[in-house]
Amino acid sequence: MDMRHLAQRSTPWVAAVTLALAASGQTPTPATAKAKPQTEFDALEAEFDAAWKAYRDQAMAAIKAADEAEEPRPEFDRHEPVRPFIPRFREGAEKHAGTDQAVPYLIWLVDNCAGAEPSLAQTALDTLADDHVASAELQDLGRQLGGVKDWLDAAQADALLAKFEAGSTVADVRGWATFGRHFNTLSEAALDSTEYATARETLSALDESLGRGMLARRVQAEIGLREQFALGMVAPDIVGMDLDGVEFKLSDYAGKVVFLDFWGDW
Amino acid sequence: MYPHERSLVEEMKDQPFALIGVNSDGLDKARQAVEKNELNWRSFQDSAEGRSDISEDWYVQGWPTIVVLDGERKIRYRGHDGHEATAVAKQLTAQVSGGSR
Repeated sequence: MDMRHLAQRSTPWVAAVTLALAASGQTPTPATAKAKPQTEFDALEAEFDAAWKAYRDQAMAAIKAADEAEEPRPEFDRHEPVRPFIPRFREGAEKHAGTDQAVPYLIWLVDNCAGAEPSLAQTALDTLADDHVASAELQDLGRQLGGVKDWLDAAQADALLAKFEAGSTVADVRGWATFGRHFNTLSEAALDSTEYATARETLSALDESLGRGMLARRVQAEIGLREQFALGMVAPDIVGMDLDGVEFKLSDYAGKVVFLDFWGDW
Repeated sequence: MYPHERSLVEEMKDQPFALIGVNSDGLDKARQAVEKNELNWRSFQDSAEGRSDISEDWYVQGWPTIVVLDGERKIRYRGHDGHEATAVAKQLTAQVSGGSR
């Protein structure tokens, strides 16, 4: 199957799969890798992961079948496999309330409810900020903080993120909180505004090692895109080799409209 | 998108338009894809020794990414939607050919 075709249509389902894959890349730490006995949380999480994977495989197979038959693609609700697990993770969080053991349950709720039940995600995030801000178990929350403004009101998000930025003992969490507070400004504020300059300076100062380098990469890419590749700007020339090893240049096509396609065969 | 791109190249062949690829697979894989899918456009190799990848220089963070440039190499579209990119490119091409005739 041509995955480029899939991505091109950008169905909600594909977005969901992409998200899930991105998220799973962050936590390749099953119980075995932790070298400690499987906890109650690990077991529940493993059960959820299996249910999610089964749902995803089924959806991908249905999409593939529809494409092959050249029929319209079926629609999928990516929250469907999540919903039955929400009460169970909430129960875990309540059972262990106030202790470090509640943290992974709360992080799961933030991760998985932001789309389906944002109010639950917000409550979980509030609890983490109020009761667990200094916990060493917050590592996995980091990346989620970077995108809080995508689903939470900007002022509320900023107040919450400030708590993690000031109070977390985990460097990545502080870094992602800073990222979450300022990235929207970096993406949206006018290039000649003070807000943009401040966000640029703050985010550029983040250590390159944070978030396995992802923070700095995303910041540099955003700055590069806005300052060198915005609509209306003149793109740089490309001098390179074609697939036969013959040198050619983008500027060979001056005067023509160029549809420049960054592609790969998936 | 291969069929879409192939027919776009075919449709626009006599116009001031070019579809140029930047391929991020290894060379063998890219050549196979070209042969198997009868791809009819020229591509840069993304990676080459002694310099950074083109996709890195262009801050590409997801594949496919399409950038539409006008005759002065000004960026007119950048994103992941092949159909929208096509519409922008066709409109620009019509302007370029209209102006030169």
